[in-house]
Amino acid sequence: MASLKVAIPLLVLLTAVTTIGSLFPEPDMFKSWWYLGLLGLLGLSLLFITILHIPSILKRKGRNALIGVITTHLGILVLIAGVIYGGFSGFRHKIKLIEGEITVVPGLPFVIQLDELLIEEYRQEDFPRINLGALPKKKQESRITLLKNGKAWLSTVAAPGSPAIVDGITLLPAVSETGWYFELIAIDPQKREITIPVRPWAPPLIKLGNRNIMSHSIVTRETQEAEIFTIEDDKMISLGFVSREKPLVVDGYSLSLGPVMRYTGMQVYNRPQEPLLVLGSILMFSGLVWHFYFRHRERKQGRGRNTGNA
Amino acid sequence: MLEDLELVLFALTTTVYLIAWGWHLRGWKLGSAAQTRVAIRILWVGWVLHLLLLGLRWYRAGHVPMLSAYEFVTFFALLVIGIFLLFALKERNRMLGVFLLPVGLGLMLYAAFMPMVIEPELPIFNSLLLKFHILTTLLGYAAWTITFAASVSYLYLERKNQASPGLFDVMAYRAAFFALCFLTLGIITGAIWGDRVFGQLWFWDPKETWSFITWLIFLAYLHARYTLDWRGRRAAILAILGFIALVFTYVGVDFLLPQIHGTGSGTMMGQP
Repeated sequence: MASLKVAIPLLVLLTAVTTIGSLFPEPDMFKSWWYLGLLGLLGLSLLFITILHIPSILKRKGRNALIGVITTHLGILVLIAGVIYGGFSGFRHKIKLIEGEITVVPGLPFVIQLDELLIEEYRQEDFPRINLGALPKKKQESRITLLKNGKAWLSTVAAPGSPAIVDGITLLPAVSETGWYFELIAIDPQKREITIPVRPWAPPLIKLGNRNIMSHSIVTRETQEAEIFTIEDDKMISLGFVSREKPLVVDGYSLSLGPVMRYTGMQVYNRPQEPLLVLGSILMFSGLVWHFYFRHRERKQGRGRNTGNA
Repeated sequence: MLEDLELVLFALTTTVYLIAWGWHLRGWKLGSAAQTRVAIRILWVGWVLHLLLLGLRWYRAGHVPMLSAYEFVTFFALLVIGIFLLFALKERNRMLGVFLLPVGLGLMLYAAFMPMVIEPELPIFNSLLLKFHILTTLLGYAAWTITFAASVSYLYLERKNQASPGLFDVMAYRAAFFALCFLTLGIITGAIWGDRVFGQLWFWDPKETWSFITWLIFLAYLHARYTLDWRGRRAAILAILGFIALVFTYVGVDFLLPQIHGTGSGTMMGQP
């Protein structure tokens, strides 16, 4: 295990397997036990080589350059350790935040309230080359307040690329997962009002009289409207649009649009392995630079001595 | 007006590179150092034009010109030629240009087929870290292109039984080391940027996977030299293999494998 005769074939095998895996993708191949096992074996081999060679390297001529090699290998080991540790620790939640609402995430020392989601979109004319399904965002800021014991504790702003990090917990809004949460107001034939919340990521099937209807998104033309569908033979058939001003009558029920609020997807996570990943990266890179500097210098000195002897 | 000027500069740069290569071939065929010196001077002219081209692009776009596919490829060509010009400060290294300039020219021709239209820089791309990731990755690729050209030069000289192919062997190794350092830095900074934008350090997206494969090949090359004492022919073949992996990472992945990565020949709109 401590021999290069094992490490190099393992490296070649890892390269070959990764190549095949990328050309003929299998779901979750890179998370499979055998792929992680291969990485682990390479890590073990690296560990043994590094540990067993340290004493002899320290005695050798030109050891400065070799210290760089050892540092780089140690860095890779620390990185692998970080990845493995990360697999067993930390948490990650994917949540949706609706403007004006409070979201409770299990295990967090605070609850999250999305005060406002500021979104400014580009125009299609800004991207003449491509026909975009959804316009990219010029601005996307989630203004949030964190509450402890029912009281506002901290206000912050998070955006993709600049997450809010509070007490080691990262709050990162999703780049593309934004939209409108809305409510439909149905008035039944007896004039009773029913409020139906529509979360577009899980739109409800609504029974009105003898009809099953659903709606899943807001369309903004001149005003905000929601398209109403009925489901027949597993097909969605449009019944028309409702807005605040224009109700739609479905099977004796009058349907109109209630409050509309923006929502955003958000990842809430912590990463206890981060110090290991940072340390591993620094060791790996600084070891490479160190090695190259001293190898070059030692070779130059060696050449100088040889020339002197001659 | 400025758009036309950019087009003219692009055409001029490519033409001057082509002339420089022709002159280089002539110098090589005649074995004339004087002719090669002229070729290098022409190449410097082309490179200055190339700098002007990207400077103009920067001015027009209002952001560093490395985000769209056209900008990315043109910037890569600038680095490849620029690094060669540094190597060519030593006269003995100049033959490398015979095999390296076609790569630079190929990149310019590849860019010529891409849309030159300027698009706004999305907020997630407005990041120093991302620019650093692109710059270091491209420097790594450019350094490996030197390794490739030096390895091809070595194999050619060896086949022709000409003098001192060993010089190119050493050059290939030195450039490989820089390539590994820069690609390592590029992968690390790319992972950190991806984490800040998408909340994940690594996606196993085909572009990432192939960067990893290319990095492993660079690693294998240096280990083979250090520990198995691979020199000359065997090391050169491995270097060429590394270059093929690099080209596949850079171009092939965009055409052959579905992916989320946004640069290279793909679009800057790509995002998970």
